[in-house]
Amino acid sequence: MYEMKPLEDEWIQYKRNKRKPLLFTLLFTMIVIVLIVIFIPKNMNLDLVKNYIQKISKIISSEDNSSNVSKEIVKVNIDSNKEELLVDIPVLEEENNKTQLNIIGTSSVVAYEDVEKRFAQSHDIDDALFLANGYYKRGDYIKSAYWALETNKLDSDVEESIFIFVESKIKSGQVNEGISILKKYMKQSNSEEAKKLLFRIENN
Amino acid sequence: MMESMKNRYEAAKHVFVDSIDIEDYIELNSSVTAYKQLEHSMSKPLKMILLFGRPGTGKSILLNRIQTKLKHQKEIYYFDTPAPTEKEFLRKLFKVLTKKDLPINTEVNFSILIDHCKSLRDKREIIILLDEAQMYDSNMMEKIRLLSDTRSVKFVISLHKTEDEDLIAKEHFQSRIWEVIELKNASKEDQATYVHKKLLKKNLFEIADSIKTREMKLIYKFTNGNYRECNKLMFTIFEICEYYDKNEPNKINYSQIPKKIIEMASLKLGYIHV
Repeated sequence: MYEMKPLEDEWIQYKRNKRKPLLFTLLFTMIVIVLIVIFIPKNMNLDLVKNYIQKISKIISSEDNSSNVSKEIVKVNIDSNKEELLVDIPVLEEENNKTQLNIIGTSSVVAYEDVEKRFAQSHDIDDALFLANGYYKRGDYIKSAYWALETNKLDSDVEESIFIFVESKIKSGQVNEGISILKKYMKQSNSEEAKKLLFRIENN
Repeated sequence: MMESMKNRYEAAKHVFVDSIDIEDYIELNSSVTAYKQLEHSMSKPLKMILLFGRPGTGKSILLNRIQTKLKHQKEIYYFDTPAPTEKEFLRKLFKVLTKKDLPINTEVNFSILIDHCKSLRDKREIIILLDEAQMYDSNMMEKIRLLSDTRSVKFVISLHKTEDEDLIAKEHFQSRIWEVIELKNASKEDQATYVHKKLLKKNLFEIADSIKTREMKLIYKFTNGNYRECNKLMFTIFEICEYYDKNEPNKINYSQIPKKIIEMASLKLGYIHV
């Protein structure tokens, strides 16, 4: 006759080992369920927030009938002259598949960098013009000339880009080059605004 | 019912003591088929018949049964364990073939034995059942072959089925006229019938009834339908039952052999491991 106690203990151990894979499976299933329970409501809230943002964007865009691009006024600190200036940063609608930027409360440098990054993806003319304007106002004439040129590449009819380019050239000391470009443009377009700018440059 | 079950576990245990006793023979569909096949082969003018199968598939008990059944009709001999030496083997053969004991300090001259066998042709038809033939060496096998060639002695050679033994069979019997009968492990149904019939033969009805179909499947799973393994497992199961019955009767369910006890017995016999 055997010693029954050791055999019983062995059997208990055998049952335990046999149950292990089952327990692991159960545990894994439970963890998955818990994770689903935790994360699904959060996702739902995010969806609600997204919907809310979309609704607000639609309301704003409907108020501004001029274009699909709504605008938001953001305070930008300009380090060079330590003045507070109001800069218009275009906030694009999601309907146009363009990324929305949240630059409220950020420093101007970060804001400009963000718009530059966005431009790299979107190639949006408003972003390029915004950067040309912004850098010009900040006194960074090399960058303003660059972004004015980028704007012009996208649409040569945007007169503002020509003016920023010309003024940037003049401000950076390349007066003759600036005037020559402006005159070329005047010949092509016969623009009154261009004439006024040339007059202003020549009399300053 | 509980009282009637008590002390019966001991009897049940003894039912499954592994033996080749003809009294313990259980008729199953598969064993009836094997028996008929062997009987039919023996009636044919064959020199050798090969009975093949894994250990525990019932080769020995089949040889025993056929010898018991046919001993009054045919001259049939059963050699259970092989003789340890060739000399001993020849001495045994001498006795069978001449019906005389070999005088002490005398050796058998094999060529004279062959001549004697040749002289017996058409006079006697001797059948020798050689169990555990894998234990005979190649010299002895060669002598067996030469004896069978005289056509007065027919051998039924029972071999374990392993790769090596396959080789033995090929080497010694390839060019002979021989027939192969293969015994296989029991099917699930045959094994259940085997267990039940064994218990019923000893009037252990309640115990037979306490092994339900589900538990029978578990027993089959652990033993793969091998009769010897089944005997071992059933013996151990009833030994554990006997212990609980005597010492901790609250741990045993008399109306149904618990799965726990089957698993404990399987652990004990190494069919499963912790």
